[in-house]
Amino acid sequence: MSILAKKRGLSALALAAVLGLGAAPVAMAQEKVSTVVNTMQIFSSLDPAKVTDYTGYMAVVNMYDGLTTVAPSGEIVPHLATSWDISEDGLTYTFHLRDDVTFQDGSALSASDAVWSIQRLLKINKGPSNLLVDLIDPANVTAPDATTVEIKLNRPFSPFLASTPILLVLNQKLVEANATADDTLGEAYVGDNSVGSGPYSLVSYNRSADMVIERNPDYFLGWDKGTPIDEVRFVQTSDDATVRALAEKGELGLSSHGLGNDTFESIGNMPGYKLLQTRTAGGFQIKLNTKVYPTDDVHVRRAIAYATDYETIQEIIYPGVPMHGPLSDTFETAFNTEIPTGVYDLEKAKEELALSKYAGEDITLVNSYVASLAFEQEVALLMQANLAQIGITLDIRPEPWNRIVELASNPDTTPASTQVNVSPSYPSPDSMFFNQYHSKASGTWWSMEWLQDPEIDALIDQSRAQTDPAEINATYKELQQSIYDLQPAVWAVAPMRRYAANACLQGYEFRPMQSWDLNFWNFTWECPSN
Amino acid sequence: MAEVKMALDGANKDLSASYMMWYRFSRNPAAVIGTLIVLSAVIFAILAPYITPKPEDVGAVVNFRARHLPPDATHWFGTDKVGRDIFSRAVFGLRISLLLVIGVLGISVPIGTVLGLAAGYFGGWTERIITGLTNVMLAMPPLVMALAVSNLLQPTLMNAMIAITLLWWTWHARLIYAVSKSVASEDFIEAARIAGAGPMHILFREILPNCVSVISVKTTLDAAFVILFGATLSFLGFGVKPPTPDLGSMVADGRQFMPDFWWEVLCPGAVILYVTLGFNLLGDGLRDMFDMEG
Amino acid sequence: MSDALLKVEGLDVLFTSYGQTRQVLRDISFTVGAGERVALIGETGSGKSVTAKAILGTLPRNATVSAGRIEVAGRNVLELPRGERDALKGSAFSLIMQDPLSSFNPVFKIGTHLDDVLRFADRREGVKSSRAERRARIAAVLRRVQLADPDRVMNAYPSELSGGMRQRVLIGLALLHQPKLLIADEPGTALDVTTQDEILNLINTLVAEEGMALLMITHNLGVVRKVADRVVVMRHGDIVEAGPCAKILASPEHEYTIGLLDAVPPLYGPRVQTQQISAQAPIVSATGLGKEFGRHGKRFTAVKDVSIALREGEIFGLAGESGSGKTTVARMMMGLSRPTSGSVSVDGTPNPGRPLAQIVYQNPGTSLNPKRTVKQSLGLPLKYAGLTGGARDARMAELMELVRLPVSYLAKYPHELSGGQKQRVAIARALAADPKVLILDEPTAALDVSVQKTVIELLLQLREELGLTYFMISHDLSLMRNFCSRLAIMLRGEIVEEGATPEIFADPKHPYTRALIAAIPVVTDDEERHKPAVSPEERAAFLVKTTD
Repeated sequence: MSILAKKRGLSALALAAVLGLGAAPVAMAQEKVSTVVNTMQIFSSLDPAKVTDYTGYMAVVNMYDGLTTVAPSGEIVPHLATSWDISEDGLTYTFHLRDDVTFQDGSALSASDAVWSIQRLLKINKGPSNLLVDLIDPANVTAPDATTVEIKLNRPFSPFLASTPILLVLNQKLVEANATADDTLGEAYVGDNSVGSGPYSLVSYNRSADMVIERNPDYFLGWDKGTPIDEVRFVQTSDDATVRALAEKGELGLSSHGLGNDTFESIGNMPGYKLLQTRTAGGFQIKLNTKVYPTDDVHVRRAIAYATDYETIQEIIYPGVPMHGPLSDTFETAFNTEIPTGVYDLEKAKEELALSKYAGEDITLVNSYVASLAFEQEVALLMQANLAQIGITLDIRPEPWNRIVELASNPDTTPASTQVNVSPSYPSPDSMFFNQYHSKASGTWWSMEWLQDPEIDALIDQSRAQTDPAEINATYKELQQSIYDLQPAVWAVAPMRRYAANACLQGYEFRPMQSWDLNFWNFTWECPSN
Repeated sequence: MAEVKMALDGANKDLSASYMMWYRFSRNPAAVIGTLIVLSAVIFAILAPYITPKPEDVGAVVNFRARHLPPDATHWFGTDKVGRDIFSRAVFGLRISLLLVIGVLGISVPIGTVLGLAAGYFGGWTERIITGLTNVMLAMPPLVMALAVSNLLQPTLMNAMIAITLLWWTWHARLIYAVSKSVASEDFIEAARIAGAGPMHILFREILPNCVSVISVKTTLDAAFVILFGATLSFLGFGVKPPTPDLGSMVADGRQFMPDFWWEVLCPGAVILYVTLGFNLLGDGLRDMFDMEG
Repeated sequence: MSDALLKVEGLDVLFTSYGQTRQVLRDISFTVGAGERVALIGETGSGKSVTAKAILGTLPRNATVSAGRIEVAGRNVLELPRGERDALKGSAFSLIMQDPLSSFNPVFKIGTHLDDVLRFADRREGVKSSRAERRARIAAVLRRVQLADPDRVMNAYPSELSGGMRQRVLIGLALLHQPKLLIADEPGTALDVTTQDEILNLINTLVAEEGMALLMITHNLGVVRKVADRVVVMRHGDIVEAGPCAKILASPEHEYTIGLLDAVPPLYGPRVQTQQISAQAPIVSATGLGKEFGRHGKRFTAVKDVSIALREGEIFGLAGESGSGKTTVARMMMGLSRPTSGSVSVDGTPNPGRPLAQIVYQNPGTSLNPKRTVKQSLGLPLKYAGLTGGARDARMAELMELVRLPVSYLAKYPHELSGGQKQRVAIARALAADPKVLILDEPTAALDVSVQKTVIELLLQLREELGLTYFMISHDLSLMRNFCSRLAIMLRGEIVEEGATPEIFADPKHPYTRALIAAIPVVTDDEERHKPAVSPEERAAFLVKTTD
């Protein structure tokens, strides 16, 4: 048996070698390591001030450096800044930058670039800035000297430090050289180019199809982890068959994590491939729009929650672990252990429905999901079958992702229920609470619940103003209970994040912030000996 | 040849027209097979709830424990990714396909026929406007038009098919126009006009009967095309609402599981092939039956 | 007769269709000797064309030769392999095509077409030939068919030649390989009578000069007399009579042949009809009718200053060849077409009402809707005449009786009727509206001679019974002589001669009239002698050119 297996592995290797595939495990060090990475969505922008989605962050984290970065533990650790001080009142943050960092064009990175970049982020006021806009006045971001950045907050805000990894630094001179009169912030240029100091620079970028980045040999952190990956070719496809074909040819370095379960299994079983599996801080939810029929009634929302077959979702459709309400238990200190996991109980679902204002009516529930995601269709069909038994007709509406984003901008167009995967955008429970449930964050795909509840808003504000970690965590626990009581979503599963990866790809570690786990500087290319 | 043909026709004067048509039809194996296929498809579609092993799988039913089962005695076509019986769903999918045919052709054929008849008979401005419109519409690729219209409205199969209907009449209009124009120049049309017949009588009683054979052949061949077109659209994501089974969406859904769970693509695909082949053979058979050229 | 060029012996041909087998040729035997001219004559369905096709090897696929032999130059072609049989075509025998227009591809020049034919024939026989050499041969052949400027003809497209010239080219085509036997299937039938006459003369000349044999397939007894030494009369797949031409035409033995000859309207001698012409004011009168057609900016005058006064009870004939404008005149008289100048008045009031005049078309095959039963066709005018229910059914029965058709035929579709029956239905339909005038547009041109005679007789009887007035347009002068009381001859849109029929035939004044009469194929030498003389100059002045 083992002989057979070995033989097969050998012949696969031989075949790959014969075909001369770029990603074939080649031991020769001088050969350029180039690999293909599959993304679910297109790179709609490369501008660090504009990216909003997982794919966009994957691009910027490789091309730019932030003041800080996040460790696998979720801790904020030094990056461009070697250290920082926080004033007593919690208002002033002083970052001490390294002096040995150069941009990809060779010019030196200075504190003024960081200040300009943060101000630019605030001025553009899109994507990542929603957290910071009314927290920081652009004038209060200053550079007392070439290696010091001082940021003065308008009010104490405890999660601020957790958001500093997204304060990515752009090459001010280069951007300004390419800015125009109507585009003083160089949005057009930054959207299509890499103007940072990051480990990879842009080779080619085609908005609708693909992107290629190559290693920045002068990266300030060096390349001493092992054989680095020299070139990454991103291929956008949500078609499982295409990804599988890439793997069969040995070209695939890393898949997206949005493939169908079966695809992961089958690629994982191919010789030369492995399956990466990790816990995440996020959750797969069915967001319920609390502003429209029929999910404006909490009893209907609870009925839907009771009609969800958690076990089938967690075990078959989208493997993962149960969730306890809105916050992942990976946030150990903030997590409220008293909140139970979801229960599949059609009788209770019927009871809840009977309490609702729509009791006795034929209820139709719209359910949207990302059309290209196979597992979400399966979840929809599962929900449809279960809800049918309590008298709710599920109107399944697969939509392209950009359409969902568009629908989310208005409570009337936001579907009554939408399947989304949510992960913290910065490593703090605040990311989950504020982005999804605070009134000020309304109008994005994060907040399709349209909760807009004053009590919840107050609790979030309270947590942000507190400085004592214990107090903050107490507020977080209260928040979880309040949100759980409103049931603005069905927290279906904390999915295991899975990637199908080439066996040669080493160094993957989960980091609880956007795509910070896919900074290719962390990876090496070491093929296991057979 | 004219003489010989006359001799032939003379030889068969004692045979009724319907016998001659039936004879030509029944001697064409392809036509007979086509008829049997279409008949069987129609019967299957009508009797779907009674003859399928798991009619409930057409509704909101999932059985994740039985997903991706290969074809066997219970599941002739295997099961899909949520454990539904593909055979039952494919048979119900036939219903959608045939309804599409009835819907699209039921609307576009009469429209196209009436406009074609009018353009051919009246000539002048009527002819210029209708043929002009037809030419413009024919210049639009139907698939693109369908995609555009259904994107403007809602990406449902219904809207896509409305778009097709909007285009489809042009093919019939053009065909009937040609026949109508040549029939309109025949003496019997003038004779009818001299007898006092109005345009309605001439269009529908004199010219239309001469177009019946052309229309029925074209319509039958179109039926196959409509089914394929519907399948193409639903494959591209303009499908009916789940869980309603639709052959095109079934193929699309199964595609990601190729080649491991091949039956999820091949079985509904084979049903599409079966019914379109049937309509094509039947159309060819009808053409032979009406003894048309080309 | 072992030296016969063509010998058909006991030929039986079966057609199989719709699971039924019918014998279409029964025991056909005849011979064509070298230099001999033989005519196969018969009406629709007689089997004459099937015989020709059997000889040429072009029978349709559902036909089988069940017995007999066809010997060409002593070899039974039925037993020859396909290739050898094909090789006989051209050299041993050659076919003159019937339809001069559809025999050419309109996008190729005549020269290209002929060159292709010659090249393929040469290749078949393994002969190598250069383009220039073939061109020389083609030019020679074209000169033989009296086309004096072969280069011009070869550089012309088919549409640029007149029908007569095209027919000459087709004959030339048949001569390319110096065949010993020419087979001609209804040559010139599609042409005007004057042109047809010239074509027959040409064939006669060629046969005489080259010593070729001729097998002529025709339905026209006049043609037979002109070009045949011997005649084979066929009917329903049988040979009913055969013998020397002069004998058969002068003293036929078989009753069918007798009937056939009887049916041919005589050009001279007693007329069938003499009619009283009313002296009253004309029932329909046309004055100064003119019609112009605009085409691609060019004006074309189809009819120029035609005046006709149609008196009640008369049979007025308007004669002319194709393109003379006679049909346009008839359509204007009917009110179907607006005159560019002049006017038509009926009973003194301008613009005729439809019920007054009805039209009977030339081809009953196209004037009856193939998808409507006789009853439906007849019902239409009755409906618009206000008849319904029982009254309508009674009127229909009456009409069927008028045209001598059984009432049961009401349920039939046109394709279930013969040509003559269809024409009767067309006449009944015209009568349904109770018209006073019937316009007859070549009412018998598409019919066999014997059928033609019965239809003419029906029309005459109807006229007597119903007191109808007829306005007939035709190119067939011999028919008109026997049918019409008054005659007008049209040439290029104008009436060149008008008068009582007997007078015109006794003393044709206009040279064109004389040329027309002279060209009519007749069946007796007596008639031939009575024909007026036409000088070549007169011909040249009035007839369409058939040579270059």
